[in-house]
Amino acid sequence: MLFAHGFGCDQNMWRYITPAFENGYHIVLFDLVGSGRSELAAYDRVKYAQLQGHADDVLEICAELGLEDVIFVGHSVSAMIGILATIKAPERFSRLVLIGPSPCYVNQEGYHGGFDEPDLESLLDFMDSNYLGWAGAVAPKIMGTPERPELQEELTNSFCRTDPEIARHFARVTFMSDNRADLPKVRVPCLVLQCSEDIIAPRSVGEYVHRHLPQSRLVLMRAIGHCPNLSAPQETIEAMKSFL
Amino acid sequence: MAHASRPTPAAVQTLLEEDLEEAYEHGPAGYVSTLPDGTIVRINSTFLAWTGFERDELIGRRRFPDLFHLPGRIYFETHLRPLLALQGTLNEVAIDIACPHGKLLPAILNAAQKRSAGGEALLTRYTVLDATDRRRYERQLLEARRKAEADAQAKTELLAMLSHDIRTPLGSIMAVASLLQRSPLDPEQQGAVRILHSSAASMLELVNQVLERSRLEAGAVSLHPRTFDLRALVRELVSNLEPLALSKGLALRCRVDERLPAAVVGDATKLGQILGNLVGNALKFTESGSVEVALEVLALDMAQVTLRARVRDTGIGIAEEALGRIFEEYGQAHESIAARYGGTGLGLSISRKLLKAQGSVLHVNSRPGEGSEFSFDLTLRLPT
Repeated sequence: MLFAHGFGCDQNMWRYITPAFENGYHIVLFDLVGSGRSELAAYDRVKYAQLQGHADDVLEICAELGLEDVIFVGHSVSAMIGILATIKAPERFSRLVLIGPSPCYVNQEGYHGGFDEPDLESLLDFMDSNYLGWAGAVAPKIMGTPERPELQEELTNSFCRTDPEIARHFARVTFMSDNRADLPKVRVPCLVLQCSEDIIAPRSVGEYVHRHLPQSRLVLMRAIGHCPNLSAPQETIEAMKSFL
Repeated sequence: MAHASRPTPAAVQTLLEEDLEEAYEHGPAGYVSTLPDGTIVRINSTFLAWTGFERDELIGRRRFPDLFHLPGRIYFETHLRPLLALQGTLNEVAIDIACPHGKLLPAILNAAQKRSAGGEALLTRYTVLDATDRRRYERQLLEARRKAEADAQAKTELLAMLSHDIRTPLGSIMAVASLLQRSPLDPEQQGAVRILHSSAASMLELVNQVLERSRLEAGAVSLHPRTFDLRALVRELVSNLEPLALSKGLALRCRVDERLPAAVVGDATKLGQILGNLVGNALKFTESGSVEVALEVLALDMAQVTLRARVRDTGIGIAEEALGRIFEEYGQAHESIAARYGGTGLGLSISRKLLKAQGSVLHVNSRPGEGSEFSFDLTLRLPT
């Protein structure tokens, strides 16, 4: 099982999920280039101007580790990254688990993605104000988890290393992407996990994804928000297990 | 005469409770307590006064993140909610709160979760600080930084353009000087043409370095890996510099590890630039003795080779206190050295940046009067 985290996080976000699959599966975790503890110098703006750049990395990981019959678990933007990887090398993958997927965040004629373009422009603008704090005031203070010291170093490292300029670029690439035309090309069975009340990927988007993927199962979760793997790990694990 | 009577302990207790209540309700921070799903269960008067919300429309009815301005909500869902779930706290996060009647309140959020013994989140308390002024200063700072960066970028681009425009006519001057050298000239004219040619050549080198530096500053270090023969690259480099070594009476030696594969994958142009710069420097700063280029294989497997490249000379060496400076732009060990040997002092700084782009570091070992050794390790893929 290959787990790919979403925008704004890193592989730490799978910590409540992976233990449930350790017996029976070979678990592979990684940070997208530009996130977490990846080599930030490797963030090539041309390559990663398209989600395909990240999808190619996924295929490189598969090739390097000799992975076959991969169950790809992708959260948020990584759901699309998994879809693109599967289309390019269908022989590698056996199943896709898509958590909160959205093929297109911007509303289009006849399609409700959840956001208008000005909303997303204001997000990028807003991120500036946060990253000022993020880089300066916030990062050193994120250390404070005295009751769970094991979290300390990981979070400090991974979140401190979020480069504001990369995050901004990644945000643009993520939220301006439109991969709707790719959905019908997927040839492996998919599980779509749709949260209730997810502002990032609203229910209508999950239903759209389900309708356009040739073989998919849609599970509407009780969990609210965009990160059921963190807020409702048990429900997430059960839905995944029943699909696998 | 009446004297003040001490209040009873019970009365003090009541006063303190009222005091605490008042501090919570009217202190200089907003407090919002929510259930794990974000539903607001308690809120203080300061928050209500700042925002203009009514208590009744929030308690039990709204989720706190729903009060954020849309970009803040996206940011909360993608960055902050995971962070809160993983570590149980948030510190000084910038969020705009969308108040009724369209007003935005720039705020700084802190959050702390109360968790059960089993680690399950029970309640989250947010502290909200009014950040109107701070946000304005931050924005000014950011704009000033952007402007400074844009100005620097414009200067860099101008420099790059000028260098490029100078390079073209310089190329012509050198070509003409070469032609002249081959025509019948008397000894005095030959001398003049030689000076013309070598002056143009050193000027071209200078312009090239300035151009390279501008490119690097413009952030344009992109690697173009291809399959190439590293042995041939080093041989060619050495044979190009042989005449210079000969003219100074120096021995120029080259040692390449036999285990080095014939074909490797990497940015041959940049590697050539780096090695050329190091060998060129070694020749420049050596009056007598030798310069040696060595490639040693440190590790080799089916997929990649890690090698150490060393350029050693018997030149003037570098004083310990100047070792740091030589990697700086325009930094030569000493002004008198710059005057004597010339050059921009850009070469090492460029080489170091080019190596950094390939994940490597340039090292130097040197003793004044004995010579210097520059080295770096580099891992190159092998063609599949």
